Amino acid sequence: MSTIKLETSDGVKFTVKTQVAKCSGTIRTMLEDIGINPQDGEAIPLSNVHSTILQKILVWAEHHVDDPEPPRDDADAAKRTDDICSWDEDFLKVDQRTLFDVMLAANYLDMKQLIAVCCKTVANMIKGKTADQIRKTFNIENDFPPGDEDKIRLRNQFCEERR
Amino acid sequence: MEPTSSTLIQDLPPELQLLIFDYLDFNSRLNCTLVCRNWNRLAMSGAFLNERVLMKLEVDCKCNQGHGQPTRIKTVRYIGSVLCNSDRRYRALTILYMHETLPGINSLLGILRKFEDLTYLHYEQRHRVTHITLVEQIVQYCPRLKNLHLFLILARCNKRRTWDQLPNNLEEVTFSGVCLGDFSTLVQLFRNVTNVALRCARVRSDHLEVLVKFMPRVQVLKFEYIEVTGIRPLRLLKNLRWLRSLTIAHSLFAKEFSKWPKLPPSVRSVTLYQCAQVRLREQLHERWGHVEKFRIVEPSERSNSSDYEMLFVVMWFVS
Repeated sequence: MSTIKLETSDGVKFTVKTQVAKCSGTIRTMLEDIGINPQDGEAIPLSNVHSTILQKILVWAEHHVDDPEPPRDDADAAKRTDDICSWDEDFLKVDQRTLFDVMLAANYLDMKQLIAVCCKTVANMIKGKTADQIRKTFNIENDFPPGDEDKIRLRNQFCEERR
Repeated sequence: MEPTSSTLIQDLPPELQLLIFDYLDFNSRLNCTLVCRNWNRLAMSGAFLNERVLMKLEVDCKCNQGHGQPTRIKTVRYIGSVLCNSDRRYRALTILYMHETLPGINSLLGILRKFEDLTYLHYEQRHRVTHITLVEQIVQYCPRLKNLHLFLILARCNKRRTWDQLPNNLEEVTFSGVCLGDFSTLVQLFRNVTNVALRCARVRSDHLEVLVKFMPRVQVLKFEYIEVTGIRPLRLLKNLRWLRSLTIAHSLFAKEFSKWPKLPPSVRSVTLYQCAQVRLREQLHERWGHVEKFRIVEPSERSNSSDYEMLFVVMWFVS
C-alpha cells in the first residue's frame, strides 16, 4: 500500500497511507490536481497544523477511511446534532482548546465530515444554555454596551418559536 | 499552527462559527445573538435570515458598507421576494436599519403592499434620522396593522403639519429609542390610538405634555426601561381622563413613588414591575384607592411570572 509523508508546522514527519491522507481534500488536491509525486519521498508541508493535532486527526481519518461518501447536503434540511456516532463522541471528548484546534486544522485540511462532527459537538454544547451560561462555557466576554442586551432580548421575544 | 493555550471559539474563522450556528435549533441560535456583539452579528446573518426569520427584514447598513447603495436595495428586494413568494402569510414583520433612500423606501413599500395581513410591525432605525412622513406611509400601507413598534434614534419632520386621519386599526404604539426627536409631530399621527408604550427613552416633561395633549384617549400606558428626570412630569398623567391601566417596568424614576401625584380616577389597574425597591405598597394603595388591581413585582422576585411577558404582543404567522 502506498504511503506519503506529511510534515507538520513543528517539523515532525508522519508517514501515512495515501488512502488515509486523501480524507483531506487539501492533500487530495495536491496529489491529484497539482501532481505532487508522493513517491519522491518528499514530505508534504502542512505549515498550519501542529503534530499533536495532526496525530489526532490521523486517528480519526484512519477510523473513517472506509466511510461511504456522505449524501449531498440538502441546505434546507434541518441539521441534526444527535447523530454523532459513539466512536466520534469519545474521540471528541477533549478540552475545548484541542477541539477548536482540530476544527481549525480540519478546516485547513478540508475534511468536511470531521468539521461537521466537530460543529455538532459544539452546537450540543450551546443548546439549552442561556446566553450567560454560553459565555461561561466558552469564556466569551460580554461586550455589549449596557442596555443593549436587554434590547436584543426584547427583539428576540418577537421572533422566538413557541413550543 | 501551534496549539496555543488560548484557542477559543472566537478564534475560529467566521465561516466555521456560522457552520456551528447552522446546527442549532431556532431558539438556541436566537439565544446566541445575546452572547456578544460578534455573535450577534454572525448568528443573525446568512440563510437563517431568509429561511427561518422570514418576518424579519434586516438590512444592516453596517454589513453592507463598501458595496454601495444598490446592494442594499437589492438586499431589500431579494428578501422581499423571498417573503412575497412564500406561501405563508405573515402577521409580523421586523424591519431593521433600513437604508432610507428613495429607492429603498419604494422597495420597502412594495413589500408592505403584499403584506395585507400584517398586524404587527417593528420598525427600527438606530443609525440615522427617520422622517416622520415615512412612518406615515408605512402605516398607510398596512391597513390591518394593530401594533406598531417604532424604535427610532431620532424622528424628524421637515415642516410641521397636521396629519390626515389614518385609516387603520392601530391599537397599540410603542415608542422606543434613545431620543424621541420631534415627538409632538410623531405623536399626532396616532391621535386615536388607545394603548401606548414608551420604552428605552429619556422622557422629559414636554414629552408627556405632548402625549397628554395629542393622545388624550390613551387608556393603557406602559413605561418600560425609561429614565425620567424628576417626578414632576408624571403629574401630567392626571390629565389622561381615559387612562385605565398603568404599567411601569424597569424604570429608574419609580423609586420616587412616595412623591407620586394622584392618578386619574379612571385608573383601575397599576403594575410596577422590577422598578427600584418598592416597599410602599400600603402607602401607594392609600394614595390610589380607586385602583382595583394593584401589583408590585420587586426586583428580588424571580421573573418567571408570566405577567411581564404579557406586555409583549407576540404575533405569529398564520399557517
